Amino acid sequence: MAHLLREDRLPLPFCGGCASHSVTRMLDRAMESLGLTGLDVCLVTDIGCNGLIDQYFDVLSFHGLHGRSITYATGIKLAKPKLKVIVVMGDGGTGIGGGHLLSAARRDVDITLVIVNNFNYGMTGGQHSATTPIGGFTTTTPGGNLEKPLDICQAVISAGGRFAARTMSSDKGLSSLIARAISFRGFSVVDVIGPCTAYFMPRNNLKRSSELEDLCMRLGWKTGILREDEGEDFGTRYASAARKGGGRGTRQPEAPLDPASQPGLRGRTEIVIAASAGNYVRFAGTALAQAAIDAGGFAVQKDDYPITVRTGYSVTELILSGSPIGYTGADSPDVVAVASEDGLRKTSAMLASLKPGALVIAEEKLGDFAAPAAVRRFPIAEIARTADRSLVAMVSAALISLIAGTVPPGLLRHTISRLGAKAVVESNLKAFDAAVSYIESHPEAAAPHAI
Amino acid sequence: MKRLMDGNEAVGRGAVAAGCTFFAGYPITPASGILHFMMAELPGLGGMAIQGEDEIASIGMCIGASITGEKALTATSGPGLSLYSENIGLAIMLEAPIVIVDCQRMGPATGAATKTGQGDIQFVRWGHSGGYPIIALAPESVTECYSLTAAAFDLAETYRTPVFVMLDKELSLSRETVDLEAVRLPEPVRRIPAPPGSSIPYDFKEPSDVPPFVPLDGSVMVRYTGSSHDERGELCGSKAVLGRFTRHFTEKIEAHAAEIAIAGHDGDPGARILVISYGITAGAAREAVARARADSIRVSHLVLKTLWPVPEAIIRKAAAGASAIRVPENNCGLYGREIERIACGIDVGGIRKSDTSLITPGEIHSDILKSAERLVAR
Ligand SMILES: Cc1ncc(C[n+]2csc(CCOP(=O)(O)OP(=O)(O)O)c2C)c(N)n1
Ligand code: SF4
Ligand SMILES: [Mg+2]
Repeated sequence: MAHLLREDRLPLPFCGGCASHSVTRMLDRAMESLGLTGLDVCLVTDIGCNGLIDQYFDVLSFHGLHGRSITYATGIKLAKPKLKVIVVMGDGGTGIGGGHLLSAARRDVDITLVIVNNFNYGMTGGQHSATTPIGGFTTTTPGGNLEKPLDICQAVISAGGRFAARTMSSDKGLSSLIARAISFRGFSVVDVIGPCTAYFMPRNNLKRSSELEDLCMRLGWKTGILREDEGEDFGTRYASAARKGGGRGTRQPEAPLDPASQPGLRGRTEIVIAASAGNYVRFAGTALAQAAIDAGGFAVQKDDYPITVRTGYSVTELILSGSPIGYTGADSPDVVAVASEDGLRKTSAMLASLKPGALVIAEEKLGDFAAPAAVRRFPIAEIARTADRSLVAMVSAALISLIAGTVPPGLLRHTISRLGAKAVVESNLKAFDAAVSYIESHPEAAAPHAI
Repeated sequence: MKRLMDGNEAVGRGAVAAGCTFFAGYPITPASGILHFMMAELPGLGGMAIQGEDEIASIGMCIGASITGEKALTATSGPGLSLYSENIGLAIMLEAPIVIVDCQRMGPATGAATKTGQGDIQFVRWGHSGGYPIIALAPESVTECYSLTAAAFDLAETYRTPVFVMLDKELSLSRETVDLEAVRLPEPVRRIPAPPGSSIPYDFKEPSDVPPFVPLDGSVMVRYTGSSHDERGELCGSKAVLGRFTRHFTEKIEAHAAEIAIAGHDGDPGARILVISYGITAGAAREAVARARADSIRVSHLVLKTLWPVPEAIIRKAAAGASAIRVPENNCGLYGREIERIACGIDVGGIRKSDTSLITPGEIHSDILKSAERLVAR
């Protein structure tokens, strides 16, 4: 008696003796034994002869792309945890989608994978697959297969899968094994070994499906339940992580200053701060940009650093403007601060092509460089040392504010104070204050530069 | 409240505002910020965010979630978009709404991973087998990354189709000044549900109709397949049915092109030069147009926000009276050919740059000046 099979659609389309016949029947019986209705189950099928079976079931079904059924099943299960999600896939699908198989085992989403493993691609004419034994004859291995076969259960187990079982398609116990896999909370795999009577069996002179049992023995593929371990599935882990606030949530900045009380910004100013990784360059740039915004203006910030982020240069480019910024390229800087060797190397071409009237604020210990602009040297590292010697970018930002007057120093200080983690803010404020007191005690260095 | 924000975060915020509940993606510069944002935000909002084992898995999970009724988002760059290809076709075939963000970088292949470009404009249109229409939007600013991502969800739901949001490295990673609270988004759209109890996932009369949606969520029996199917989602090889469906895939988008079209037009009725820009070139073009007008050159400017389907009526209207059309692009002229096709007869050209640098206002300005000189000389 069929349970969820569509009797009006029968017979099944498979060749006589094909493993997909028994898998279809046994899957139906497994769902019956669990008392599942068609609305409890989502059957996700792959591409291949075995992938035709969804049409013969009165269950929710999804028939996607070759080798990708695990990915759709994962999305469906994560979105609708109440559904019993069952994937049926061939050895072909398992091969092309091998990465998904390993990831599913590691991820442990609560889905069941039934593999119709017939040692070749039935649907496309009997080519060799990831499970074809060495020496096996297929359309594409006329002289015998040269590649080693994959033991799917061992692969699943070594990837951390908690349920892996193997049996023959002729096994009377197949339905209860599938039922057990469906009831298992977590990723479960049943590797069903069976005949492709059109290709693999005749090509390899195999007459009875029992001969496939001998083949498994020779391959060292064990049968039965090879692993069934306790544990928590992904959905359970995700839910408890989310309850604990696993998503960190993104920080909302504090309330802004009242722009009306702030002095306005002039036209467009382009600023570059160039230093090294670990100099909090981005933070210093953000402080200037946010101060411009707090002054009622607009800002754009772009960061540039090597892919290997903890090495080499770190550069931040800023555009500050009293009006909205349309073009976001910073091609013609008004102020460039160079605070380290790395920063100088990165910006030397830019410095050489600066427009007249531009200002360069440079670390005094740096070697000579060409810049057709006003160059002012400061002991930037020395000033930073009173706070933290890495904070040369913040000293540079403070000098820019003090000398070029892009944003008022008082406002910049206030902006820094509400920009981030306490420790970072405190040390950067110290660096800022160090720059202020240096300028106070060196009035000759403090001459403003109009840009 | 004004603050600094990059385009990636604005995309994430736009998605959340539009009711996105599912995200899956794989890390890639310059799109990773969207993955990071969604991994941080969605769990706390009751949604699901997951890093797939690759791009194929990521878009596959999104399609699976979408077909159960969730609003799903994925984000990538050129190399990942290449891996999406087969599943983009699946989303079209299933009529599964999904929003795909492409943060363009300079290609081909791994290309210049941290440099900008607009080279995927035609790739999103044709990057699946079959050649059926999709929808693609191109924000020009971080604020628009927010509003157009929300609009992309509304379009995906309305037309049951994949919708692309085309950023580039510049928009993804530059932090601009935004005030998202001041942006008024329309009420989020939900796909129209089929009548209660209906099991027919593709019930449409006219080929241009969008079929009401039946969720694969256990509430009603329904089947979905990426193979050719009939209205009930049953495998089908009938010439009449398949012909009807392929017309449907085309017409449900193209017959609604006018409703999908978004553009900004800064027209001068006496202008003989029209500048058409999109995405990251729009800001530079706007400045260039202002400078040209200061030089007393009459020029109009059309900024396209919808790239696919091509907003033909809007382009035709803007081009009426123009003798020259300039289309600055950070690629080898990939969209210009669409303009050429529509504005047949009118001279189409413009700055085309794919050396990783932005097109500057100065370059577009002098291109407009040269164009004006040529018109005078004629
Ligand atoms: C991406 C892609 N490549 C190739 C194919 C062609 N194809 C269809 S079925 C199949 C192999 C199926 O073999 P298997 O999974 O073992 O199923 P079987 O037919 O043996 O049941 C292939 C390669 C496809 N559909 N999609
Ligand atoms: S070709 Fe092989 S796999 Fe396909 S139906 Fe026939 S026996 Fe089964
Ligand atoms: Mg097979």
